[in-house]
Amino acid sequence: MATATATPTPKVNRIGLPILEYRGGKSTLCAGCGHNAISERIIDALYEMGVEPERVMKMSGIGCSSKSPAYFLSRSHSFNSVHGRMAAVSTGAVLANQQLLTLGVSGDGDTASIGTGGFVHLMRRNLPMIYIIENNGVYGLTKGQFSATADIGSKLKTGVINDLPPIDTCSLAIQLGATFVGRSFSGDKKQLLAMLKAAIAHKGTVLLDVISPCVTFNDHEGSTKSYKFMQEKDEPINEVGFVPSFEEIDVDYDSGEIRDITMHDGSSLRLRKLHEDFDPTDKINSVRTLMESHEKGEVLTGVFYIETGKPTFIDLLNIVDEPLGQQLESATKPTREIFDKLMNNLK
Amino acid sequence: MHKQLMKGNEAVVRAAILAGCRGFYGYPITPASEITETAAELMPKAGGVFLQAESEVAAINMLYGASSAGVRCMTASSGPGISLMQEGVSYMAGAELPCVIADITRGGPGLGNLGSEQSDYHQVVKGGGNGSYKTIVLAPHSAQEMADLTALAFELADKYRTPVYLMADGFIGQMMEPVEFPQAAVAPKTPEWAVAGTRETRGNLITSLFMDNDELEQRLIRLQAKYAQAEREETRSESFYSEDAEIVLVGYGIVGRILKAVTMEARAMGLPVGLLRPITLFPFPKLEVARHAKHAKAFVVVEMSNGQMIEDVRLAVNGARPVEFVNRMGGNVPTREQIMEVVLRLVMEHNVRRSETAEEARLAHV
Repeated sequence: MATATATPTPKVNRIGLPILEYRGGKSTLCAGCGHNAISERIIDALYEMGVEPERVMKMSGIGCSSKSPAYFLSRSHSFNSVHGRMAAVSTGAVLANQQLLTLGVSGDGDTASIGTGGFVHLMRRNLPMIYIIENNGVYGLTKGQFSATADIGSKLKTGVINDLPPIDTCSLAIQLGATFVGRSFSGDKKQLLAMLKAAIAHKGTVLLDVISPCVTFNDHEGSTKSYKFMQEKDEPINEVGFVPSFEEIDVDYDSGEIRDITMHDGSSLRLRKLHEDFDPTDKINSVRTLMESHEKGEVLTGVFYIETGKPTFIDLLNIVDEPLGQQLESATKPTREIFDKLMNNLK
Repeated sequence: MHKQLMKGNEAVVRAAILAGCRGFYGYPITPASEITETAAELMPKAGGVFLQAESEVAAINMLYGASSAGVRCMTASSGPGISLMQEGVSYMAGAELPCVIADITRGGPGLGNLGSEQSDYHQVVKGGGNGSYKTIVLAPHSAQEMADLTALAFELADKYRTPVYLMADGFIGQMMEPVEFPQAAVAPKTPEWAVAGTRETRGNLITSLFMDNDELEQRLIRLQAKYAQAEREETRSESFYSEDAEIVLVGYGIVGRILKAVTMEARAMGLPVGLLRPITLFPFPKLEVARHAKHAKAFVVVEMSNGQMIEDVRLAVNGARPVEFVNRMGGNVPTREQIMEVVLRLVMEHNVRRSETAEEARLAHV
């Protein structure tokens, strides 16, 4: 018999946690910053996938983007590292404990300039982690200088025009060996959420370049990373859907246009084709498509490349499953018997 | 030229251009970014080069290249960025190349914070990179000195063929004061040792690599001789009521400004307190400190760090007098009250005489 004072039970996910348990501290970023929307989608994705917050390792570098892990998943483990060094610090941490889900949030300044060296080597190692670039084309914390992802012709508030070509982190990642590469927009809830959920299901390096407008320094007329520009130029290459392993796949679709990719955990990444001749499993095709779209001045979004069977860096190193720092002495120290035998062999 | 109101950081760039600097390679970082911003605006107008590098490591190596070619050049950063530049500074010191590096210091270690500290002293004044080298370090305490010492930095960098630091805390870089610039500008010219792509300079060799032990030792002996010459000829400090002082305060940068206020307050009380403010941190004014030890009963070193310059003061005092330490860290600033408390305790402990009339009369002229 229900009492009059009973509070309604909050909605919970498949591991029995309400979404509140996935939230973080209050954001100190500007109101309207794209990064805040991305934090929300990360919360949604981990909640919906039923990932235990304590199983997540949040990594970041330096910059506005790298502050954002404080604004989601307070219950997780977190490492705010060094400018441009998220890739290297993550490599150390992932190899020390491969059992956690590693989610890194960096920015275009942190990744594409000072961190390029580390970034490219992380990509070629296919280290299992999700690497998110919150890409706004400027350095926000030092008041709006161009970053290396700013497009040619993009204009700063001061009127300065960028005359250097941008670094396309997606093309780079595909060429170098990352196994899940895509681009999204902080304002596209549906696409970003589906891509994040698929990223959680993937085994290997995931690179998600998320255009995330800086409302303070790069959201004006003339900017190519503004909300307005994205609303006009966002060109999805495919419609991204995701069916987690714990849900049934419904068959209500035209199979000719949809490509289902089975992920490591049995989930399904469903890509509805929007461009003729685009194949997200063909590296050369993907890079060419990206370069062509750039020539046209479009901002291509969606999943550009996916490869599910490739060995990760963990596989290549052949290291033990248990975290290195948590090995029991019984597993690392030879018994007296074995030790004596070894010593006797040396006599 | 009339006085203009500007930030210390802005004054650095204007002075640099007047000193013939035509290359600026930098990477933004608080609280030094205004130097980079101003250089972005003014350097192209002066016919020079401005480049926003991809990192501090890249910026210092761009100086390595530009300086080799004989161009007066500079960069600006703050603690974390200076740490990244140390490799390049070591190479430039070894290869005997001039450049100017403005370090507008902030809180550390690591990321620290954006508040002002003076905790880069060790990494800047004591070398910082590998090898037996030193760099000349100038420590302004006003926006005007930011301009004047920038000009001096370029002069010394060329004279000694060495990297020279302009090291100021965030306050000095950020605060606005009237600044006056020299009337005449220095015209850029290519030094004869440069590798300038001309017939005359084709034979020049710039390197920090000497595979032969004796050859490297000869280079190192030459470097030490330069540093000894700089100690003889370039040491600078300001004596503020310190010539007859029995309590001598020692501090640089923004602390120097606070210590001037403390000195005035003590003098108004008839206490023989004075300030010795190092302007060059290397070469450190050790002879001046030792000279003051003759009439001082005690020294008070004030720093916004865990006590880094105090080591140099103690070496110079050489045990002759007690050296007290007052500090704040983390971006906090020592207060006049905090320092005065120590001064008054020392007055008691060392029976410092109090003049009732003479000093007051002298103060009336200040």
